[in-house]
Amino acid sequence: MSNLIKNEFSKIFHKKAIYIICIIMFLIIGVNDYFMNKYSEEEMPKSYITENLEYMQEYLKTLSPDNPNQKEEYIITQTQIDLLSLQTKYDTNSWQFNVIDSELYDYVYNLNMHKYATEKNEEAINQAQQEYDKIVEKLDADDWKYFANDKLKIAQEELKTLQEQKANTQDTVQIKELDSQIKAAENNVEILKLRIDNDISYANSYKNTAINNYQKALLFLADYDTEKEHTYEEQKEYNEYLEQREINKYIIETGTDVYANNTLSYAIKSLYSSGGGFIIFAVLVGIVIAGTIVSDEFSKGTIKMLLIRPYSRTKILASKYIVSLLMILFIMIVMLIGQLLIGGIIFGFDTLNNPVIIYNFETQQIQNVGVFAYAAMQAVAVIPSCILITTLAFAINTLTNNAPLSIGLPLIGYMNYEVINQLIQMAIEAKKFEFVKYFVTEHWTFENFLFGGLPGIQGFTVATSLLICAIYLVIMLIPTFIYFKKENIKNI
Amino acid sequence: MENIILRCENLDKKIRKKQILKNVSVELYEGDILGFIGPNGAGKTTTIKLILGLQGITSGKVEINGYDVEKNFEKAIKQVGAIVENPDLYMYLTGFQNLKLISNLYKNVDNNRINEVVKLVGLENRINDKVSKYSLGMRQRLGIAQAILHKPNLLILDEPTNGLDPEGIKEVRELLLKLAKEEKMAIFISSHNLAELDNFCNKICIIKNGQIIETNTISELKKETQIPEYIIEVDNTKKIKTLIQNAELIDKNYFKIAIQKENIPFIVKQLVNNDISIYSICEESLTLEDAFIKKTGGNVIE
Repeated sequence: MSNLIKNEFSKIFHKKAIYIICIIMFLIIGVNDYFMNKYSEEEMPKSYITENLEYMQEYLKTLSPDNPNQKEEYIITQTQIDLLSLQTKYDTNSWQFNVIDSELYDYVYNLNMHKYATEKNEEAINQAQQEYDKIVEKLDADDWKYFANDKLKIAQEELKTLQEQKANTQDTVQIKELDSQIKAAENNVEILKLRIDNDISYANSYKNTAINNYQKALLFLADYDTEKEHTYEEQKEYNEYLEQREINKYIIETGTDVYANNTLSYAIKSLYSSGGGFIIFAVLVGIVIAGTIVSDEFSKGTIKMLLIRPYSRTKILASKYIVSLLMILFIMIVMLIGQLLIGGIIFGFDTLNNPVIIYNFETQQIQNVGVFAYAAMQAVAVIPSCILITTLAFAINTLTNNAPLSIGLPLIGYMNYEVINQLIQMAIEAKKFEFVKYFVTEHWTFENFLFGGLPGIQGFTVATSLLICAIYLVIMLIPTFIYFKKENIKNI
Repeated sequence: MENIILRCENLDKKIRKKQILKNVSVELYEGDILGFIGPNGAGKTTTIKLILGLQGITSGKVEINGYDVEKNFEKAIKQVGAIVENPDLYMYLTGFQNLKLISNLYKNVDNNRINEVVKLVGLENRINDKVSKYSLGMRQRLGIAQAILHKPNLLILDEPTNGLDPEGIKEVRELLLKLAKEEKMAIFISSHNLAELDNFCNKICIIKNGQIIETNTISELKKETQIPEYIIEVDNTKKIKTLIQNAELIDKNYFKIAIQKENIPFIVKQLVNNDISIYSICEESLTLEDAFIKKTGGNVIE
């Protein structure tokens, strides 16, 4: 048997196909790493702003401030034009750019409202203009803390009034309402303090992103009532935000850029992830090998030379199947070595030290996982999908002897399995055709289960999902082996 | 008594409702070379496939070295070497790599044995070339090499001289004779090229429409189907008919006569006495082909 396996490997490695796939894989890894490194932070091109500005100006020409029906629209458009033209002065990554977006609208709108009022009030215009000028001055002075402190002051005042309101009311419904508002205000204060204390400006940076996401997570979690009954989707979303909160908090507190994708550790970490990783190459190799390993022997007539050796047909087919599966493992190892070298050269080998931080739902704690340990766990979690899709290719190939069919069908299936999963989720939500929840694609990766996460479909465990995978595997393999054992070798 | 190596008993093969083989029985002893002949579509390759376990047997059984090929496949096939249809080898590998793959599947075959076999089939100069660069004749030799690599005692060859030039055919024939004699191999050759089996096989088996119609030794087969005929060339055949009753005139110079060898001098004397000049007398030897056509009644696929 081991000799049969050795021979199958020898046949595969004497063909060019495997080397071509490896070279393509390295090229794609290289290109991917290069762009990851070059455009690690997404930058909005300035042309986008100027184009938008031109469009708005054109639009403004069609409006008239004197027409009462168009007045509001005119003011809004004018405000947007003012904001955009102010933004053009600054770099798209600068804090000013972001602040103009998020904070200045009210000031500019106020100014424009007075400017284009039917009855012009010079004093009001002046006052609005002064306020506006002051803000612009702060922008130019590079004083982002002014805005933060300003917002903090407002938030604290709001919190205070809310607390006073609560003290003055007896109505339980209102108290509950106020409680949630107070929570939101407290969160707001906390965020701003965090920003000021940690010196995180509004400029685009991983810290700014982290603080924004942290705020989002806090907002969601504040609204989430754990007492109430929630749908499974909501529970999953809750988990997601829980993770977001903890990890972003970690980023803010420690200042390490956990999500940095221009690092070798990120590249290794995401190497085997089913969404957008390079696992597709393992699947591709598995399918291409399994989808030709039997039919090739038939089409070239060599099957006769193979079957007249002192080995049973079951052993011969089993050796081919085992080799197809081992090739998946082989390509995963090649992939890892390739990414270590290519990524190391592009990102720098020292970036491997960037920690891999995950949130463990079981211990409810942040956990620092070694990058290779993480990759190994990820690999184990996705391997069942590789095995199953390879087995499908193998079964079709043995049963039909048609290589294009046995490569094409599983490949299309694998490429679209996420769509299939979405359809399954929709069916489950709609409570129709609920039996589809047993379909294999929902169970063949175990990434959801890592670190105590929730399964894709409610009620399943690692064991039950594995059982489903095993059932599909057996259903594919039994007819394949029986058919091959009984097959008449026709004239070739 | 020689050892029996291959015994096929009443083989039947049906594919769907079509009867491909009916009651085929063949026996092969140590040192035998069996010519398995029949017109195209008679069931030669199917018989070979049943013997090698490549197709299921509808009824009957095949025993190789005492092992039933269906029940005890691994033991039965262990001492068999074969080429079925074409010598199909891995085109993207070299000749040596092909042999190496096969040698891995047997215990007693090392590189020395491979080199020995390569020399035996005369491929030593090209053994490290890819098979895709081989001519059909070279592939045929490599096919024989892979079949005898593990020193089988039964060699089954399906049209082994296909694509070989006359020189090659002669070489293969000599090689097979040597193997049969020295290694005590039993050889089972199917062919439709009857001329090359003449004077080479010691047994012949004729199959037609899935049924064996004749199993015999070659010499007996020939004896059975003829009294030798002689063609005699003379200056004029006009008077022949009156002199010899059973003469058959071909044209004005040739006539044919069926007589026993010892009677030739009498004929000659008679002709000479009648002033007929004799230019040549030759035996019209019945070739295997003639015997074959006589037996099968031409090539009709039913």
